[in-house]
Amino acid sequence: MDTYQARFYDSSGNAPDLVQVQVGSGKIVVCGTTFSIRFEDLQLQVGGHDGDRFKLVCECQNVAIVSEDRAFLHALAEAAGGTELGKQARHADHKIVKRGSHKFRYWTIVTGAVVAMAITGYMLLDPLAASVATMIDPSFEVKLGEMLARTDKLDKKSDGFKRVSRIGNQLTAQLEKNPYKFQFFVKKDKEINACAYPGGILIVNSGLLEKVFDDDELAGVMSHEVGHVIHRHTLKQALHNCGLITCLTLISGGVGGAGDAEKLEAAFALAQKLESLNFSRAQETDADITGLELEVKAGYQGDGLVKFFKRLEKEESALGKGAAPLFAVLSTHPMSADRRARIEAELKRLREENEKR
Amino acid sequence: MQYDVLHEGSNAVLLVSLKRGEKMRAEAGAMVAKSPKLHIRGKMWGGFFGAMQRSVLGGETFFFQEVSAEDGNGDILLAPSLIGDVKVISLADGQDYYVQSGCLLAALDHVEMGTKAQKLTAGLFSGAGFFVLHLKGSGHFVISAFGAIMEVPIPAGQEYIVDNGHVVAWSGDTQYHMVKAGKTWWSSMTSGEGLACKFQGPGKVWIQTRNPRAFGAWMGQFVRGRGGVLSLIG
Repeated sequence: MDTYQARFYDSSGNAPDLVQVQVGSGKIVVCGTTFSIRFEDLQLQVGGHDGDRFKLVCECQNVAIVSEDRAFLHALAEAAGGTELGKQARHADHKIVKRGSHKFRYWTIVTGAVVAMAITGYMLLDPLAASVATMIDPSFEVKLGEMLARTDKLDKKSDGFKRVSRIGNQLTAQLEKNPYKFQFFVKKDKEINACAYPGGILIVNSGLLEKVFDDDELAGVMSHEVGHVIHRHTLKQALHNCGLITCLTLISGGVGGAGDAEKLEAAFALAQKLESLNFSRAQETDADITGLELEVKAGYQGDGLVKFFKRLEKEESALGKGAAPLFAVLSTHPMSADRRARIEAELKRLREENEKR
Repeated sequence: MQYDVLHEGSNAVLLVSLKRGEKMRAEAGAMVAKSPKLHIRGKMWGGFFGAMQRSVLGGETFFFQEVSAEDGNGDILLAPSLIGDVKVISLADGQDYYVQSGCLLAALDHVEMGTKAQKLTAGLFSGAGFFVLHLKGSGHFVISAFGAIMEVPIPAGQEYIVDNGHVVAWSGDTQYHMVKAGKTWWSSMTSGEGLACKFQGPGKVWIQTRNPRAFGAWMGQFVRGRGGVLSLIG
């Protein structure tokens, strides 16, 4: 006769004993004891926290047997036949099997709904940030940019500063009427990079000035940054980040406890890394196109940005991975093959347009 | 491995004596003091996804600490963050238990832990959270609670109702569902009890005599807000 593992609860209220049971004719026998319970004294129900086990309760003897072994249930259904206990055993088996598939379906729906909400929220972040940006007055951006620039030690006297100001003014003179007052500065920093604060403050690092071959290359970088200012990319990115922080706060349950702010900061940094940092691809394209238009209108060749990046990429690969921090502009504005092709196509179109005129 | 609960009651501390080569697991940050020969490492118990579920959705710590007596015998003192009792529950082969996230102080011997999701209603209203800890194997595990811990055996065929927020642990053979605490919804709400968990025997449930959420809400009235117009009033 087959034996099945089960837990035996007596009336003492103590923890159950792990027992082996057998299904005999008309009764259940607890192996190793003389204890047995007749089928007609048993009530069978599905039980357990997960609804994955069944319990046989004998009220007259105040005992219960609990098991998750479905072979035990099948043996009981067969032995009890068409009796009430047999019916209960078949019903319980059906319920346990069904519960497994219900649970899977339930959690698939819950997970799917959460993922769908997260994706929809993320997709709406940029359009929402763009629409909120239209409600913010450019004077606020100017103030914000001036505040940020105050933290930097800026060079306003050197030859580099004069060169940057000359090229910057040539480029911005091509712009249509806009609310920004452009100012150009040089920052003493070996890192090859340039940045634009909201409101029109452009900062070129001395490291970048040393690396550019000619004014065309410098104009390529600077016109791209002017493009970011005109399209209000810094403001939109800040609003995007605010939205992201709000979403993370909602998911993590807020910043109430000690150390929660640090956890949130870490989660935000991770989310930013996953988003591949800085401006989106669409924003980079917008800045490239605006920058190219300004360059061509101001009389520059227009291919300075691509040339400069090509040269930097070669230099960086020759110097090895250790030089990567210096070549920050390559990681913050990656020049993919797609981007290069888009710039070259746009430049070709602008040159053809100019020739027609 | 030997253990003892010292200062039983609201300031209970668990003392575990480990022999060379023995290991145990404890809630991250629970250590009060230890012998220099014991080593502590952070471990993702229950796998990465289990740890993620526990920490993000269950309010439990992502890491558990593994205490090992690699260099020789030693003692460790462990205490929960909350003021309350600590209770050791023995776990035999074939048994399993569920513990509310945040209430497992330590697991001794060969206790295995997993994370289980609760039903939506239980997750939302039981006070135990969406994900609870599922313990099986053999050995002992230690639960901590706010206030004293009461062990309530529920015989087969009987039921027991516990107010939500007071459930700490229950045996895997019991099952519970959410019910209104009063006879009608109106009496449940006006009595201040709202919803409760109805357990069905056979099995046991461990309850805490104080509700941490209710205590937090009570404390909240004495804590000044962080600003805003309402903070100007009173």
